[in-house]
Amino acid sequence: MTGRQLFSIMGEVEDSMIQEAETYRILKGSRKKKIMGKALIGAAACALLAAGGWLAFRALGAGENGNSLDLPNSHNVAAYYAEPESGNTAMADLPWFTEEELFHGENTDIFRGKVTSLKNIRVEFGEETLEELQYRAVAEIQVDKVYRGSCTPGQTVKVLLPCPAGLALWIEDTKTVSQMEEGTEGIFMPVRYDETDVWKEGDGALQLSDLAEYGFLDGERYAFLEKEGKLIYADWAYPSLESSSGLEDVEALIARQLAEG
Amino acid sequence: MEDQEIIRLFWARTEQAIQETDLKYGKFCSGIALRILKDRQDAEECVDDVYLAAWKKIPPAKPDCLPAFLGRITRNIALDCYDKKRAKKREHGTLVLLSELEECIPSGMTPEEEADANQTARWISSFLSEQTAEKRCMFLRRYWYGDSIAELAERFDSSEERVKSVLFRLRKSLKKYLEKEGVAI
Repeated sequence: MTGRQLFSIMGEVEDSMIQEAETYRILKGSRKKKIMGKALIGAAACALLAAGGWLAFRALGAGENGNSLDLPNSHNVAAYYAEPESGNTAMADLPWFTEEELFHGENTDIFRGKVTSLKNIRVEFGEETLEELQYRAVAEIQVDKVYRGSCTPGQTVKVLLPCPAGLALWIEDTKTVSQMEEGTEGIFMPVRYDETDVWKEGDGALQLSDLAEYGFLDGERYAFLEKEGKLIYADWAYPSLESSSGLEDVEALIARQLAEG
Repeated sequence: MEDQEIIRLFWARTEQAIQETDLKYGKFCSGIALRILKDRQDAEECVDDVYLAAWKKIPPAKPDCLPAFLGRITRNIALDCYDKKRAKKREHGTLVLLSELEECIPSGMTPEEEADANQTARWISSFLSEQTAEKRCMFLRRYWYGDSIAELAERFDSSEERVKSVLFRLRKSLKKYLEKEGVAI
């Protein structure tokens, strides 16, 4: 089959879809360029329940297989180490950036390292139903090389993932980080949290730096992983890495981008 | 004039059917033809052929959706015209669009599966029904209506880079979807 033939076959898709596309338009200026502030992009990237999706979790309290985390700068919120039980699909719209914007648009640190620990956590603001509970993961990464930022080689840093890890869950827009495991090597581009990075729900406020020093802005574009000889990353966001096979190619791209920046 | 009225004129074999079709859908059809052929004169000739084809098809056809019916005829005639002209003059824009679709073609399709165009169209419809409205419409505007990337960026209030990214992901996903459906048979 050729592209020409497929283009012809496309003509036979459902009438209702053709009609929909005839008039569909997004008014200029109505799209939000950034969905939320930096602090909430990581939170919004996953675990928002889609219509019809659901998540069944055990209702765990502190001290019952749900060791609570100390959150000194937060209020009306609790977090526990806990594993989600069931699969769910969640959806979010990523803000869209060019390759240059991904490197220069946000003030991310860039470093290479190895994941030494990966723990799932549950965040409770107190008003949620079981289905609304939100799960994340905290990765500890031993830094090997620093390309940009204030961390140092040999240091172990904590990074907040926008999704739980190591589960049979499918969550849109987290394809890269959901493949992180203990022992995974990679290049990571998280933002360093400060006092302005706060996740608010109702009258609860979670200072994200209470969970980790860093966080990923989304689950796809800010990590490059090397697993079983393969490079895992958001290939659609980095066209210049198209024929790349390993982290060395990513390093070369970073060097080019930082030199141009 | 309502579409059902126009169809009734076709059935009554009244030439007013062509006039009313041209009045309501002339711009629509010529837009599709122009995006594929990139030549105004060729597009105008194509649209004349569309009206002739519609006259021959209705009756017995009684389309439920007249714009989709006319749009399909326009695409097919424009593509035939494109094939004839391609040997003489390469039209880069349409070539790019067709080569993008090559990425969606699953490997390992049997000749029988390739021949079953209706089934493939149903799978594509099924795939598109699972997408958000924005992604579905962006895909159809590109590969049904033939919009350029710049036109899509304007219509969807996006950067061209974002449009390219969205379409790239959708093509990859469609290919996987068609491969999965093909293996399931």
